Amino acid sequence: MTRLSWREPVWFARPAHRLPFIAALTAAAVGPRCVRAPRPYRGGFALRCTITPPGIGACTVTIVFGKGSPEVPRVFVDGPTDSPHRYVDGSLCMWYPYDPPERRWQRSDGPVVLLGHIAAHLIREHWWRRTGEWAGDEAAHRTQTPQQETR
Amino acid sequence: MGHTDDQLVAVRAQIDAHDAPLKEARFRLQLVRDIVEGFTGALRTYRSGSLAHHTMNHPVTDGDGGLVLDRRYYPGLGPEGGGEPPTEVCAQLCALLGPEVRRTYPQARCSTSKRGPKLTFGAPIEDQDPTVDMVVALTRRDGAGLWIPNLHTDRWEASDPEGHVELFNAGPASLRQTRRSVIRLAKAWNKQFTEPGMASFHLSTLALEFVEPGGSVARALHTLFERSATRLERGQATPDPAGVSAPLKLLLARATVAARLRKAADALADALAHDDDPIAVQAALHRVFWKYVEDPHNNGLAQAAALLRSRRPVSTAALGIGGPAAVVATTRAYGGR
Repeated sequence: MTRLSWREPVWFARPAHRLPFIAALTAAAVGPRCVRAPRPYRGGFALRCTITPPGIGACTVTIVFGKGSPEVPRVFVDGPTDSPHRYVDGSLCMWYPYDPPERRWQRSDGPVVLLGHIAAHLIREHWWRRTGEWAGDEAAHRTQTPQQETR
Repeated sequence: MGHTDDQLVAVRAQIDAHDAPLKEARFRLQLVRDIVEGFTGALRTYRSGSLAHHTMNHPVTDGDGGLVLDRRYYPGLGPEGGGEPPTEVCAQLCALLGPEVRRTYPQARCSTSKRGPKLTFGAPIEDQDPTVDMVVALTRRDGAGLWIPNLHTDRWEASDPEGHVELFNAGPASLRQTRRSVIRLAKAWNKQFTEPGMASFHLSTLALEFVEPGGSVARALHTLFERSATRLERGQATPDPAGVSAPLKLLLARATVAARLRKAADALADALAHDDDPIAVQAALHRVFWKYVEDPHNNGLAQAAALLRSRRPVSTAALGIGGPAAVVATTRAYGGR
């Protein structure tokens, strides 16, 4: 019989890590509550809270950390989903995953900064829906070039 | 005239080029044209671009023109000659221009841009210091238009800048006036984006095609956005209005530019649908000209977008997050369905 090698538990498995995360969200007055993680992230850690970015109104935000990639938050928001920067499952594409750490959220930044990234993304989306302008940087992800136009 | 047209007049008042720098740009272009007419083999000079099309916006940045060389004086030059690239003749022209222009503008410098010599003058007027871009063009043996240089690829390309000026200044006076107003507004709309999706010439060409006689500026601008969006959504390119050069290219992905045009078209349609309600018109026009028309509801979205557009770290408090303030770094949004 082979023995499985020991693996460090994911960060949210420890109350010592999970509780301060929730406490920081409580201090930000966004009313966090733990919810069941969606099916693809079963066994993960999921929180729901409400933020009110300027000009948008209250949005219910679900932040999910899966067991497969526990350092990467998946963020789902109620409301309109048309956006140039969403993943196929509707979650927000807030940063380019291969950018340097200072241009991405990391867990050491804390949950309040994550909420800031979410609010900034929602403001940009809302503005884009109004005007067509993305108020910030974008990583190129479209392959179609002007040369591919037809006459 | 309804409220949409009224409020577009207010936008135009903000984007209109100021008289003094406009006059200065015209003077500088004429000075450079007078000098290059003495260049060996010069046939004629011409004005081109927004100065010649009467579609310059504030600030006045440049005056474009060209020098047409007689191909027979330069048998080695161009695709129909010995195939010589344009670099050398542009350098010769720059060597002539620099000292001559410095007689009038002591701080002037001559460098090169994509199409030929570029003059900077070092003499701002109202904080605007218009440059002059002089295209060195060759007559063509076969076909309409001229050969103009592309110094980035060191090749010659067929184009018809003189034909463009004729086209953009053609038609009845009322049509020309409406078309020019529409082009100025469309250029101002396009320039609001940190990365404009289209060259000004592209927008002007679309206006040439889509603006028809008899309508108001607001209706004509809506038509321009609407038909341009439809064209891009169908994957069609915009042909060169003179039919000489290749179809015009977009500066960003087609889907991005089409989405921008569609949103502008929808917002203008909203404004026109509520033309008797000034607040509704203002709210709709704010979606098109957000740098020129204030949001009448002022719910903080435009200010938040402006903050994020600056590409600087933003405080969580400014993003509506309570509790102890923290700083949110700038990121690059990614993904797309």
